[in-house]
Amino acid sequence: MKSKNIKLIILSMYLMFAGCSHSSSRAGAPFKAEILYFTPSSGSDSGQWTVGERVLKTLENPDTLVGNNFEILSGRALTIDSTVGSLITGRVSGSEKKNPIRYTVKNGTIIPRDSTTLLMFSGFYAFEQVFEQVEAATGDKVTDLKDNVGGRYQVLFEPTLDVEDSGVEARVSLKLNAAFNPQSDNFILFRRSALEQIPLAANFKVISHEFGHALFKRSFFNQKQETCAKTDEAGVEQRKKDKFFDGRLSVEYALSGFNEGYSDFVSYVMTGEPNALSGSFGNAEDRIVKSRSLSGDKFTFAQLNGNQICPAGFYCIGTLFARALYKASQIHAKQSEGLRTFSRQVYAALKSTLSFLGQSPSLDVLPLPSKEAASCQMRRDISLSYDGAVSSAFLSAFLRGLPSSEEKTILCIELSELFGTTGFVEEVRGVCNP
Amino acid sequence: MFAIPETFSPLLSLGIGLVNSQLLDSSELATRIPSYEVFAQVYASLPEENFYLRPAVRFSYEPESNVELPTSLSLREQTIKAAAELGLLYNGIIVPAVTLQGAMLSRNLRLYTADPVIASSANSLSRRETLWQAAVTAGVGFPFADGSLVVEPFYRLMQIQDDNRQSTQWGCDVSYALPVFSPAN
Repeated sequence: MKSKNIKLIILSMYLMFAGCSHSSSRAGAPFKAEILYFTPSSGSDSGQWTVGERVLKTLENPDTLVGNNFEILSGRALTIDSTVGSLITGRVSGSEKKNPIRYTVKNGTIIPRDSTTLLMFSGFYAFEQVFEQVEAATGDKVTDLKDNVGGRYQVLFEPTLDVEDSGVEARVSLKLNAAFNPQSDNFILFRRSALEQIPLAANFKVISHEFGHALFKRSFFNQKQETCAKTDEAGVEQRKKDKFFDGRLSVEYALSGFNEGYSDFVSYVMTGEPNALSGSFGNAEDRIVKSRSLSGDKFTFAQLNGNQICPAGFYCIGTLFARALYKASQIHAKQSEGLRTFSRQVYAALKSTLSFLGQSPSLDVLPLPSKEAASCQMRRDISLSYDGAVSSAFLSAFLRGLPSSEEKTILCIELSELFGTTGFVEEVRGVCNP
Repeated sequence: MFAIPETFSPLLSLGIGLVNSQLLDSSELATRIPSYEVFAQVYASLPEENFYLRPAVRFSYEPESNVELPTSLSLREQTIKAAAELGLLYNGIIVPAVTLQGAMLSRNLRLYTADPVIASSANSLSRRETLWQAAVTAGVGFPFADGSLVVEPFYRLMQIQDDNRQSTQWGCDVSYALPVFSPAN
């Protein structure tokens, strides 16, 4: 009874104060907001990060951040089953909760009132930029993509991770990452950090990279989520004889690299920037950031043994693939129709890659699953011979789906040079012949 | 034995407070936000024995928070607050008190950008906003030096207009009674 009275007193004081505050005018669609945005590079100009006013064309409701193609959700919890690079599989929990959006409206423009809101609106705009370019970069219509995910993509903003171990429950948060969850087709923007320069949650380059994973799933995996289920010793032995057991491709070291590499290429096509990570972290000289650049210091597949040359594990295989695609695309100007046409050809080739992987010559060089792969374990280090064979099988199957063109010729030369005779074996290079 | 000297009525005391807020962000993870307060309060006895009213004015300063933010972009907040309070307390060996507070907050929002981010000159993100706040505080005073010095840890529930990130505070007031207001002088 006492607490009820106290609440009533507080409420009446609040109402009294609220009555004194001025109300701002409402914003109406199309909504404008002051946000952080990236202007993609074009021609010789490099991209630019700016805080200023932008129109959020697809935003339906600024109070819930629901848009035509996606919605941004906060206050969710994740239970992670596995992590491979920026691919995370897990279950989302947490009840419907109003987004913690705080803004005022000035002259019809939404003005964020705190950093969280600024990041959420900026992230919304970055996703809008991605969706605007999806059809040009892939040939697929956004409506088709949305149909595959039940109508609207979901973006989890700064979710927490529920961890339960030995009966102890904890709530933690991950930093320094953005991710794609191929199991539920949603994107995850992890908690902001003082180690970031440009916040990942609002970073068009990073978000377009993550969207590249969704496109890789849709093209290479034909939108089917492969999960590698744990099995017993006998099951592992059985799988070691089956080149296409369910889930193998999702745990192959080299294929995870190609997934990352394709995503970096998507980021380049959409942003015109050859390094998806540049600007994200303060230290531009960081070896991992530098090694991800599509125009950085050259290294080859044979040099990936140990991490002296490239310290980023399977990402390095992806960088080699992305660099070859980038080099082939350089006959076109940034943001040009020619580049987008090539991007659509790459996407189409990925759609037929899995099918060609089951045919000669790719099938001949694809090794039987390693014990790690059969056990659903991702290796931490490269095995040049094994991963080189997987890589050769993938590249030959991919190139088979690519039409003859000047770009394909350049691509073949680049892949031969970067992957060498270990990562792109001579036996499969016939696919490069017109 | 009573905490407040009976000869001092009404009695003015001045004090300082160190306060911690709990700021819940979008992940519902809490960050501790410190603030610093100064206040002046008057003890006015009530007809009911050992009960006092304690009207007060309080000013507080909340510096830019230590919430973790990226280095090239943040919207930094700094708040000053002016509050009027009315407390009811029992003057015993210790001094339990319940206080209602109404306050006006003036919050300075400053857009901070660093290379490679540039801010368009027309942006409206840097601004000052005025907010209202209502709160109820429960505290227990521990008197020292014959009641001249009171140390009062407290817990505060509050509602800030259009801002649900901070709803609780806890801290400690230290106040000193000024003898100049004693009728005995």
